[in-house]
Amino acid sequence: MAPKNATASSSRVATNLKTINGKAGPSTILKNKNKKRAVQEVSEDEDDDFASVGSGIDMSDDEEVEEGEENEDEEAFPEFDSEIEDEVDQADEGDSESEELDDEEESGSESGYNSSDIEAMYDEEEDNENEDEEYSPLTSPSSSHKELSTDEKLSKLIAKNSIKPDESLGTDAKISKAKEGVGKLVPSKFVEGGYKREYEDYEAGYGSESSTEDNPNTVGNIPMEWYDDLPHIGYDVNGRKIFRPAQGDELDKFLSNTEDPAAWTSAEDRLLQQSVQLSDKELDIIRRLERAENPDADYDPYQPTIEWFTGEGNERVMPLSAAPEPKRRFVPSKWEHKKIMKIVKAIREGRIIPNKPSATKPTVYQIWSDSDQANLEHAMYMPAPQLPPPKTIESYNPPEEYLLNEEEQKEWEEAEKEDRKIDFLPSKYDSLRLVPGYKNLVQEKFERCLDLYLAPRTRKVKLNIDPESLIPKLPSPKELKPFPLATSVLYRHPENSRVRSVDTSPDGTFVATGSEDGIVRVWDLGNGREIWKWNLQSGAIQHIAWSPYKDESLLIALVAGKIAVLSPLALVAPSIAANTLNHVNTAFASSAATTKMGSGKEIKGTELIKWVRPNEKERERGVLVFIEVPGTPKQISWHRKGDYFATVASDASNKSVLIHQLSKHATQSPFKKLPGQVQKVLFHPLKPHFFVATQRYIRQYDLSSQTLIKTLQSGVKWISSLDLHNKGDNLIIGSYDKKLAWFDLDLSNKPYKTLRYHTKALRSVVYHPSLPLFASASDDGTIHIFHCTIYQDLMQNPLIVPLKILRGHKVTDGIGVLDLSWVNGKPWLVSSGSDGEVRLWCS
Amino acid sequence: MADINIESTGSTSATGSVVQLPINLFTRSTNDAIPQSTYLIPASWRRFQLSELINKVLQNNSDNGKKPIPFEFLINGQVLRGSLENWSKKNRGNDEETTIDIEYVRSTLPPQEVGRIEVEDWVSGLSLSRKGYTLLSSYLSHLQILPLSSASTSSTALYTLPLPTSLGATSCTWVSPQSQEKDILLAAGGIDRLTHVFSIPSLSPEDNIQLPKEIYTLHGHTQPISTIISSKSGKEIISGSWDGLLNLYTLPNSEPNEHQISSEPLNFLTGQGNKKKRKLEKENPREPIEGLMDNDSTGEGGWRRIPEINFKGHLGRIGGSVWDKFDQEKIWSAGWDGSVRGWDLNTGINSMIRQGPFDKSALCIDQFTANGTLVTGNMDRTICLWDTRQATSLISLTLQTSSPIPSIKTHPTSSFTLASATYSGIIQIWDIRSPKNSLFSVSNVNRKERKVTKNGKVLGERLLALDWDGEVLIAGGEDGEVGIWNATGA
Repeated sequence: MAPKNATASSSRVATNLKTINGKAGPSTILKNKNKKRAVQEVSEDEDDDFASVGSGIDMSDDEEVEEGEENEDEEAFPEFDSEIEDEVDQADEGDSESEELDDEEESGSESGYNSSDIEAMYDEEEDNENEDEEYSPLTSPSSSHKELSTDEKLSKLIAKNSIKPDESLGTDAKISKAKEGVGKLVPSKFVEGGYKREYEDYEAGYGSESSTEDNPNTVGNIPMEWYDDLPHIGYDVNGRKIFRPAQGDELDKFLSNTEDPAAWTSAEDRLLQQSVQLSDKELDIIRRLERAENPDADYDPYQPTIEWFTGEGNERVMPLSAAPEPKRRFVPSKWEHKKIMKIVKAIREGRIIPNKPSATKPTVYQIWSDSDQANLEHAMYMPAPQLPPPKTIESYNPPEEYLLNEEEQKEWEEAEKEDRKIDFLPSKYDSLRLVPGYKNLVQEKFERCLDLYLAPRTRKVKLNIDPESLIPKLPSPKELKPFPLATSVLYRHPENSRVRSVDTSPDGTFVATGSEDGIVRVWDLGNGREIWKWNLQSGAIQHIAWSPYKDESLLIALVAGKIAVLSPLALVAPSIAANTLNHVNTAFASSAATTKMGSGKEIKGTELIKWVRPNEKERERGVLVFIEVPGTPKQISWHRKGDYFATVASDASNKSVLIHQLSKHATQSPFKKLPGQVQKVLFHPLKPHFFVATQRYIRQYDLSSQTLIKTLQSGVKWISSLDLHNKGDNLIIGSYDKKLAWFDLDLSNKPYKTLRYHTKALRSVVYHPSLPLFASASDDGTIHIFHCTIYQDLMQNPLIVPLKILRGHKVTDGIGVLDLSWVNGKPWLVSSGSDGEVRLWCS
Repeated sequence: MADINIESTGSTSATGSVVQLPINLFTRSTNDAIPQSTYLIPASWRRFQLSELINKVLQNNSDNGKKPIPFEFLINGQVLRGSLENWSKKNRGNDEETTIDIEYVRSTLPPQEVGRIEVEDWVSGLSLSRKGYTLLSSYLSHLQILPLSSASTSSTALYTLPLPTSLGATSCTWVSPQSQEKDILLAAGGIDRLTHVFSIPSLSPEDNIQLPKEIYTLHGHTQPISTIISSKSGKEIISGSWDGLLNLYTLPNSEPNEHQISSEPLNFLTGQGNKKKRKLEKENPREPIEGLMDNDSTGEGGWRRIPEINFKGHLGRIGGSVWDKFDQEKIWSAGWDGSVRGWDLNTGINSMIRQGPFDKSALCIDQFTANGTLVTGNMDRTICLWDTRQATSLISLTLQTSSPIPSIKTHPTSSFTLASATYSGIIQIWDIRSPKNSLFSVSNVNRKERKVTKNGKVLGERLLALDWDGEVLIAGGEDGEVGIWNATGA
């Protein structure tokens, strides 16, 4: 313990550390000791305890002091600390293993040292002595020490008191260590009463039997015959010549061989030119080498294995991966089950009979007795494909025309084997007995066998399915009449201005069209006469829609920045006109102002929305209200009761969807934030639901609870139009990527069917308000009419039957049919095209 | 003699390689009937030879002082055009054994166009009820009476009667019977939901002392008028409208001196200025609703009258109506709901309903004078014959056309011939014994190359109105012209 403590504490003081570094000897000894102590941890602990017990009675007190001292240490030499430790590291280089131990010991030793009591110190020294005694067999011989004389003790005491306690600790220890038998104090000759330390000759305890150690000749590794002519054979350490030892003659050699019993165990040392007696150890090594054993006597090839990772208590607790145990570890194997069931089946069918007594073969039987019977066909027996029968050319005596002439023969011979048309040379023999053996026989048979072996033959089970039966059975269009077939009426627009929107009035008498010349026209559905028109003079009419409420005659037209509420007052009965006016104008009456702001306080920017009363002349013509809105509204959707309507203006950011109420002249923006660029909106025909179609998704909102009910994933790239079936359970959308998707709202949020039959983008899809029909219009100039039966039985899928392709609209500027509208109660369809034509298609 | 002739031809054919076909000739008219027998006729014979044959059998030659009658031959509802051989090859596959049944009818000459009258706007209604004059109504919102002479291509109108609003007139009819020469009444229905009855002093130009005037304004419809008919006596007018009602108005014998109902508001401005407006209205009650473009129609309104009876039954627009040709107490109407209904005028009861398919919207109706069969022109491009005398029958015959039939007219005497106008601009004359294709069809290709009317309405080829009195046929429509043809039917 003491020497260890000494090193540890010495590391604290730089000066002493230097001395240690200077003297490599002690430090190495200490290191050795450390190593040994590392092996004997247990005993060391005991030592620690012992030391602590010895250092003081009250442990706690000691600790306190220790803490204080440590603190002091740190305060006093904060920088040193690290440096010193570094240096210690350097000193202990390669001894990283023992470092930790060093630290531990440090603390232990400190606890031992921290008592400033001298006696304790002495005790410790005694301890050290004891320890040394204990460890004596392990220590090198040089570490043996002698009893200190009283004089020495005295001088040590003086030295101790003359140094500051902190510093002294290490020094002390060092001194004590140095004193402790490494050298001995002798009275100095120069200083009266002084002592001088005399050290014993140091013997480096390498512990090796290297012959260089005791080899006095230092000539080095040179051929010794160079000294053959010289009287000496080399030089010793001090440079003096080593003279050739006397060489006995052959007789002497013989005598020594015969007389000296140890002569045969000697060998000649060439450097010293004399025979050296081999030690027992060396002889043992030789003996081991002879027996091809490990020369090291200490090596134990049969030492017990140390189980680091296996065996009881060494199981790996930490799994290698965090993945949970797969299910297959717990469930019975399916494959095994299959295999077993196969066997079970075979047993049931009688193909395998368990515990069948093996058929006893008669000891003597005829091998060929059943060879004349045909082979029973195995279930998997498959005859090899037959070779073609021999032809005339293969005959031994073929007609002349089959024989090759010389050129052909030459050609045949020159050709590659694979390129030959026939793989033999036809030849003619006069008689069968002249025919030689066929030399390719073996090769051909081999190839045939190889073919049969390499080409696996299986019985193919052919599916005999009539492709016709795979086509779903749809009723023929003839059974599904009536549906639109041909153009009956044209609603002619002047100068072929593009008609963006068309709508038929709910009673089926009027057709309203909105064209790009900014005029809303009302037509007689039956004969195509324009009977009313409004010139809104604000650019193209984007969309128009009749109010679905039959007791009023209201039409809404969308132009840039404006919504116009129109009514063909002169065309309708006075009672209906009065209803209409009452409905639309009451809000004006309640507030005297001709302009009313929209009442959407919570949304910023809704104050821009104004309900403006048109001038008298316009009102006389049936323009009832203008609603000024941000952006260009593109689509309008009426609520079924005809009081609310929603508009979409894609370019009006968060105010793109607006819901207007006619009776109150109120506008609200239902969405604070929109889920994307809104394409179309739609009111549910029966429930208070609201559909919002963005580019790819359709969201269904509940207006009463203001919640999102579901999001439909269309699977198309850009929705252009949508319509809801009058029962409210089915929805169709058209897309600019040529697709039409049918959603069953009860079924899934993915399309029930996606139809792709148009060659260009779809512009409009519309359900018939009462008949089981829907139509889609596309930029390819065609309108497709479909039949759709929606069954009351929820389990039955809707029946969709394509009925008719209506052609007639011309494609202009890449745009075909723009809008569709069914005539209420009739299987008639009104379509508007970019060619400026609006057509009525009748059954 | 005829027999000899046939035999001689037969013998020649026997010697040569001429194919002979066995035929049966029959007819439905009693006058032209020939004895039933099977003839062997050379296959190369055409209509003319067959007609000659029948005339010979009937002995219609100059010896008897009778003119030969041209006949038309129908085989299986198809008019024979070309030789018998061709027909046989086409339809029978050269089966020369089976007897061919050939019906023969008196031939009508194809219509000859004799003139065209240019009108400023679409023609909506035409009437030839009064011999020598054409009554037409147009979407320019007026009635015109034109003298009908063979060279009346550019004749000026005798009368032009404007309607009070410029929304347009949809139909017109003569009200007064043809015998009445003075104070003739005529009526027009308009998109303004009113029927306007006008009175003109006389048709002879020298009597134009009194100005024509609107004498009655018939209220009662909530939607535009689609059809007007008047009784033979000229005392009753029935109007049909888009609202599905038929209204019977009885005209008083002498001019009344009070309105039956108050006037409709002509102005729909509400709010504070309303009372002022009403005051203004009282001072100047005839301020017209500003119509489309033009302001030229400011006719005075007549005495407002209300209907005597409402005939309610049709579920959609009334397409057309016709007074029963036999029973003055009965009218027929056809509607967009696909039904044909008969109404009893005295009781107002819907005495007969024939409900066809709901999409067979009828645009017009007429009745054959001979047998009372009703014929309708429909939106689904068919002409349907309704035999109303048999209780079970619905549609007895359907003639397929290429486009909707807005107007149809039966021959005044024949029970087989009718004329129809189509939306594709073609006038067809049908013999219902030949239902597969029409006897003649003429189109209004001769029309002038006008694109737009004065008030900005686009012109097209569509025909909207047609009338036929058995000799003269007139038709007009979207083309802004009235074409006049000489067309005689059997």
